[in-house]
Amino acid sequence: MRSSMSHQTITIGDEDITYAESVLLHKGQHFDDERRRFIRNLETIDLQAVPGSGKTTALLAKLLILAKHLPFEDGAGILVLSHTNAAIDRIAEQIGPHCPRLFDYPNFVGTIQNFVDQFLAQPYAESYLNTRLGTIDTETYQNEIWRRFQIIQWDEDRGKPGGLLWPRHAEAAKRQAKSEDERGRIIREGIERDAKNMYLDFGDKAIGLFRDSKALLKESANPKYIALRHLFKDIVITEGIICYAYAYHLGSLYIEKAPQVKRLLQRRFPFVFVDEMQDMDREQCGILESIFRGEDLSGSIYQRIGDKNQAIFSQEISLDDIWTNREMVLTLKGSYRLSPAIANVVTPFATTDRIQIDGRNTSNINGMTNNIPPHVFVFDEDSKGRVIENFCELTKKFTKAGKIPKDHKYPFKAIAWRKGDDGKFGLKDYWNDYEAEAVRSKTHHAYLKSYLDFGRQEGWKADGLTNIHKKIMGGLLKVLRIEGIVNPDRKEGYISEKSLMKYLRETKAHACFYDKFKMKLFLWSRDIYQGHADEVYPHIKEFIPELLQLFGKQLDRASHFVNDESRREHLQDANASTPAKPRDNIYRCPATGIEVHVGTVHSVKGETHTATLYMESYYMKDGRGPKAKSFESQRLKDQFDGKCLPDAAGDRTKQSARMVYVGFSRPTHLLCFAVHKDRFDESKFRNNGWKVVYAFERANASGE
Amino acid sequence: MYLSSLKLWNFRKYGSSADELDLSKPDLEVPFTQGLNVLIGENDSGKTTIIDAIKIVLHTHSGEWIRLLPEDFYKPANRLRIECRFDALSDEEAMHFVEWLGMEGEAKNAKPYLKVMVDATKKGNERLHYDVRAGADDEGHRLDAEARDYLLTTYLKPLRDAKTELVPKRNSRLSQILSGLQAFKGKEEHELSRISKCFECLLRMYFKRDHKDRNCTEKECRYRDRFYPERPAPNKEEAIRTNLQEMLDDFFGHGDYQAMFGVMPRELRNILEQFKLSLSDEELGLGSQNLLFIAAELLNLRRPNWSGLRLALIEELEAHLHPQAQMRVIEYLQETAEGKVTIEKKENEQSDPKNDTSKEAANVNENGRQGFQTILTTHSPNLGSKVKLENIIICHGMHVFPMGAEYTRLEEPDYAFLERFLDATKANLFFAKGVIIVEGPSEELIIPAMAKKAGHDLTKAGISIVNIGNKAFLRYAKIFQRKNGSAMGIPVAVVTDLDIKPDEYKAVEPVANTEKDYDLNAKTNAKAKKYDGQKVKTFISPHWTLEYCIGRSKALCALLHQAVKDAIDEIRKDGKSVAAITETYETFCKGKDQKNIAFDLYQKLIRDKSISKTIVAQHLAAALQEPNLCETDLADRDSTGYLIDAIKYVTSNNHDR
Repeated sequence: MRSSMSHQTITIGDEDITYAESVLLHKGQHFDDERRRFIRNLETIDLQAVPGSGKTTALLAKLLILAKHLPFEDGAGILVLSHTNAAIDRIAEQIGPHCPRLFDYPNFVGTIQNFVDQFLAQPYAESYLNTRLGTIDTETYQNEIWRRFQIIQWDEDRGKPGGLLWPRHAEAAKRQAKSEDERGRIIREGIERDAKNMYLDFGDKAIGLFRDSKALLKESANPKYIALRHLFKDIVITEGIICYAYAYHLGSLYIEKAPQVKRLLQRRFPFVFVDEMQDMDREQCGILESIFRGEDLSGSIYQRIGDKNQAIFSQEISLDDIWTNREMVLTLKGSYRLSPAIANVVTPFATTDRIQIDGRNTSNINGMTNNIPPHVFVFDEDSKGRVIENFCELTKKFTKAGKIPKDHKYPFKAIAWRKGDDGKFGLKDYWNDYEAEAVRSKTHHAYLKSYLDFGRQEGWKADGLTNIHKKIMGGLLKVLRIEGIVNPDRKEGYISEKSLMKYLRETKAHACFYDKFKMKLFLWSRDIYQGHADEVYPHIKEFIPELLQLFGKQLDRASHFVNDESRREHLQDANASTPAKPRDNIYRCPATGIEVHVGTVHSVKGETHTATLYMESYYMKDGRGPKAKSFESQRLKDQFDGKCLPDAAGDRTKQSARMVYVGFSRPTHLLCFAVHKDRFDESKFRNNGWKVVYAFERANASGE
Repeated sequence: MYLSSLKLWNFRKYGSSADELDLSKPDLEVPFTQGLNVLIGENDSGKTTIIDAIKIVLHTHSGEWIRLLPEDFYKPANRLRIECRFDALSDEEAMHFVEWLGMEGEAKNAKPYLKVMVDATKKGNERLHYDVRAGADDEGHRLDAEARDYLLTTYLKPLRDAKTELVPKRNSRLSQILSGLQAFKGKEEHELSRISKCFECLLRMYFKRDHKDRNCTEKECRYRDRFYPERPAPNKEEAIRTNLQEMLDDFFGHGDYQAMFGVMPRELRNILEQFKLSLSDEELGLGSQNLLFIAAELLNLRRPNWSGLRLALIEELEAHLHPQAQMRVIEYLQETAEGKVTIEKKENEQSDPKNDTSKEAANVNENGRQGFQTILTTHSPNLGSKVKLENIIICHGMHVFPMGAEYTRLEEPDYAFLERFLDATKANLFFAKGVIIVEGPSEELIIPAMAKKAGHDLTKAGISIVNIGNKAFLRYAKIFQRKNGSAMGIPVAVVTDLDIKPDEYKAVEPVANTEKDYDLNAKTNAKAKKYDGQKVKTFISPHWTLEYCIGRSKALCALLHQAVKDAIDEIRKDGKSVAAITETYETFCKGKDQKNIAFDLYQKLIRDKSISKTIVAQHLAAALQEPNLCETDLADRDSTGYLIDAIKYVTSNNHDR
């Protein structure tokens, strides 16, 4: 057993880095100086890294080395935060087998959301609100609010709370609507949107909207207020349901009410790492700053890693004020993904922390170094549909010439910011068959049958029966809820899977029912997995009255839910669930047979491609008349010419720049950009080394 | 941090049949102080139950296998719950439990606490499944195993077989304790390891002089010449090896294997397992071994760089310990609890006033106290008398009665007084099923004899008679009166004299106030009111003093007279010059009515002659066994009836007599 060390005296030496190299890099590869500098560093810093720099690998190296010193003598731990469970899984995959201790108490490797939930929001709710949070899920929360709000929104006795939200949407409706019906619709949808975003501030007891600093309604004896407060108390305290944003609110309150928690967290986590820091929103950034960079600065070492120029997920448009700049910022300038030519073109699109990207992907193929110049496709209304085809032909040409490896391991992708499904210029204009994906994992459906069908769909994933089981349970629980059956444990509030099973298990009278039920659940899941959802459905329908009887109820209010098979949702389902027609959005070029994945810039974040085609799209309008700007080519004219983005650039310009920065920094070998001829200023491109291709003609005629 | 309270629902004898637990009304709630806590009570009073409940939730450093069993459930109930609450967590302690802490108060006043619980439900004969959870709400979240390590208690079981714990053996308790100490912790490359390796090598050299261990880095062995001046090994020794080698050759074929004697490789832990603890070379008696064992365990509790719970659970501290030793241990525990015993500093500490790590090293809590918390159980009045009253918790019936100031009606001066005067004999009162408080030796001697005559064996009934030697009844009475909550089920009789002289006294001193000068009823009631309360009842002699009252009984008076006569004889034998009583009882009584007889007996014979009342009482007590006496004689209302009342009162709870 290793001797426990005091974390205060850890230093990272060359042998440590060699060890990390042996785990993370290929044989013969080494971490260069700028990476070593970061890995060795154990101070509070930001690491600003260019795309393709292998920053996460550098972070993993540091974690591997630190983990060798676990367990720390005083019982402290390491905190590693990222944004998605997928990201966390990737970390676990790569270094988990080498340092399993890192993933156990007292350390914590998880999403920022999970951290806030477990260490701040839940303790706050349990200590100060006297309640246990059962569900932290935005969709559930929103459904709950909306359901209850709808009941009371125009109720006289409750002061017609709907009136709080009506005015702001009435205005907009008047302006935008072309008909009475549409006006009503706009208002209704606006109210629904707002209502779902409401919350009760447990600090000053005011009612407001998330992200809106102005309170909607302050604490008072107003019947509106009382009704709404009751609504929130019901959802949060009785049911224990909140959304993600609420978790941050409760977390902040906890820190306010018990400030020593900050001290304790600093002691517990002397090392704090945040990956993909650019994706943090205001609340996340703020809460972490207040905990780990509080008054007592000698507490933790807090390192944030990411690329601020790639902040396309954060909802803040104006990001400048979110991140307090650190005194010390290390950089990783070298990109192992981009060739020098591509690196050169990407660099000017940086919105902050400008670094000259060092494109190091000069891999040798057949004696030629990788340095294909970027190409720009100019199209018009007629030829816009051929842009992707031209792109394919270009890649074929380069492959033939040996400039793109034949067995390229990364895909070819064609991307754009906007989908074009809102009538404005976007992906759909370049490729008609593009399907804006609608299928995301939903928790709630309108009808029982949908639960089963979606269950089947989910079942195709590796998890197998678990997801299907969850779906069936979800459907059954919904039946119980509609029929008003409450949680037997608490005598009020939702019945959850856990409490239902507990109740069945522990009530003697239901002992055999419990076993039967479990068996049925298994058989149904298995049958759905094997594709027989349609046959299972009647069995479940038959079973439901039996289940209800245990609670002394009959199928009544939920009958519609159970029996109806609505056409609308089912049509969608039909498309979603037949694997025969996969909506994978892959364009197959008829002429060359080459496959190109088509998607949004958001969908390819973090990816590596062999060749990328970035197609411009429409986003809002800045200005008027001929000088109006809506496309990347308009907002970022000078950047294509190699000039850095000015600090004074407007918010939407910066947003566009970030989008381009992300999109352009995907490919290893070939970068292409597509622009409409009306917006094309040839001088800006040619001067900076772009090769021009007119998509009116076939690609062969373009210069080399 | 310290264990501030234990709550039980449906655990062993503490329960209610309802399956629905009312979490606001535990079946037992025991508050503990930060320092020493002594659980006192007769057998089956719940002391062990309380200790066991704590062990089930927290477990012990010695790694005992403790589990909830179906028998632990209160008879018809199917669900039980145990909650342990910890307060006064320092930052170092709290940081281990951040995700489980509860908070009370806000802003500057926000204080963390930790609530740990076990909530188990049994279904038929299935194995019980439960986990240990922690959190501010009723359900809590599962506590990680490493976090639970910080809550382990140091447990000393009753009837310790100290011998087995202190001798060398695999995984001995001593080796566990030692390996946790700073000197040995995590130091695989310890000096002892090196010595052990050399030892192994030396053993091999016995058989093969030029043996050298592969991993030895020394150029020249420093021990070889010292131990083995002869090289090569003399024939006998070499022969052993050769013989063995020949056998091996036969079994495995020539030259494939080399026979070598060696010793098992040693990890530090194995080496420590070889240690035993003893005082000098002699075989120790059980008592000394026990002391040694306790010392070793407490060593564990004192290690400086431990940021977890420091709690000692000791059952029957007095087992195998001579009363003097018991006192010493208790004193040590009391002083440690109060922070008078310092704990050694961390190795590399410099005294840096800014950091004040010495405070941290010694696990100082908010009040600036160092030390560890102790909860111990005892049957010993010796211990009871030595412990501060506020550290005592009396276990009785279905309740516990902590004796701290918030719970009893005692006030601060009372505590101070009682601590001075509560000695081992008086400490009996904590263990009794009923108590009679008297002011002098006469009552102390006479009452048991009278009780026996009346058919109540006070010893068998577990009644204690406490002679406080003065009239400070109030203080003692208040011990048994609670500020709020249930009354202690222990009946307490305060037996005292009326102290108003009979009218005959005016013959001696005309100006003295005597019975006719007072409203006797009022006086009696007033006196009783002073001490009465809850289960404390006062029994006042109908007249003057006990001896006088005895005199008032025709049946008893003669016995008293004889007792005085015998007492005087005894005193004279000792050399004191007192005139013997020569006249007979009949003569003495001639011409007097009972009142006069009593007065003369008491005033003239006892008081005037300054005869020791104690000696008189001794003789009288013996005389009371007189077969001709019957209970009704004793129950005379004008005489000793009040004593019989008191006796009946304190034995009223006894059903087995």
